[in-house]
Amino acid sequence: MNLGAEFKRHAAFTGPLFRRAKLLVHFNTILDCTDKLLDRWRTNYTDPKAVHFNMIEQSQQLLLAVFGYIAFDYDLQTLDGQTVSQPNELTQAFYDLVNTMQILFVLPTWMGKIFMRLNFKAQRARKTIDRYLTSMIEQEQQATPEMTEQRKRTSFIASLVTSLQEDEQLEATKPEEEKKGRKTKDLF
Amino acid sequence: MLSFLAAGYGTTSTSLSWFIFYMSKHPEIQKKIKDELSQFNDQRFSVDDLDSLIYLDSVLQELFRLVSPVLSTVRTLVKDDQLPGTDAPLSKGDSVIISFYTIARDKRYWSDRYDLHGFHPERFLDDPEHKNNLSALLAFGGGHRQCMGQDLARFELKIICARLMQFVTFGDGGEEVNAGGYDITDTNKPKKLAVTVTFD
Repeated sequence: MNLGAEFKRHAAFTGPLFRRAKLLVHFNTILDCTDKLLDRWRTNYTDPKAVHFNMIEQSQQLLLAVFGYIAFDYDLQTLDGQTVSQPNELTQAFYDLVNTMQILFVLPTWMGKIFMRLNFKAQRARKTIDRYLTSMIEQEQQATPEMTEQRKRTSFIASLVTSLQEDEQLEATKPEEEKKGRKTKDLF
Repeated sequence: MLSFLAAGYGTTSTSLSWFIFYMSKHPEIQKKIKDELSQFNDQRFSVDDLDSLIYLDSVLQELFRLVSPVLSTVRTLVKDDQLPGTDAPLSKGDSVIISFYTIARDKRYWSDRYDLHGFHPERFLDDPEHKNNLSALLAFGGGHRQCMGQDLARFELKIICARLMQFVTFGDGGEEVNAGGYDITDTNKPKKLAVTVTFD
């Protein structure tokens, strides 16, 4: 958990990105993603009497797509499939992992470790999510420094990459209040 | 990154699901939102247009009041203190749970014009005596550790809800299957949600 000075250090980088003035550039992205969902419904939901049970899943896919673009400048492709019945791979993985976390919270650490090792569903979910995260980071690393500098004010991942401490060893010797920037392991 | 991705979409998508639920239960509220949107004639609206949607604002405020995706938060005391009223002692380092759910339904903080357990966006527009204490609307927490993504969440949700309401009407899928209720996992999701979707 982030406490005191460490919390302030993290918040100084990420907080300003999510203020309203910075969000206006994402207006069209959010509208476009919503239109994609509407197109999908228009194709599939032709019967006005049909009852749909998948609105939570549909909401998750829409918000995940939006957040992928806004925060990571990355197309998570959750809205690409035209079928509405099949759960999206990434949203399903999140669901599985979160469900496991609920159980982990109430178990003692040693039992949690055994539970995790035997829980193939959660392991598979974690692998799927890591695969997406790795692709996002790879895409960001291919960007030129100029591009990153330009985008760091609006893109979350560009800000994360530029917020990395230039000399992690030097920063580690300072007291928590004087530390600046982030460690690479903070990113994941 | 993982926590940002999870926190960034899970809470807002839960709010969207609740929006769909309450729209399916309240055709009259849906109609009012659509009336407000009718000035744009199904065209794309601008940021200024979005800001002008006062009724939709009250719907979203009511959504955050009645069914905030997160039900409570925890604060850790930085010095010794005591609870107001009972004077129960609290020590530095203790954790205190603040329940958004109870504060949102506490009669002391809200006007009595509308039932606090019901979905009534009008309570935010119709409060001539200023009896609503908006500090009790705590869906994003408060203080310097309040939700970092709240501007994004409000902005996203308002755009999405407005766009959906321009084209679609949600209908109640049936008393049994669309009964609502709470499914509390990572967030507080509707337990039973089943709707019809009609393009206008």
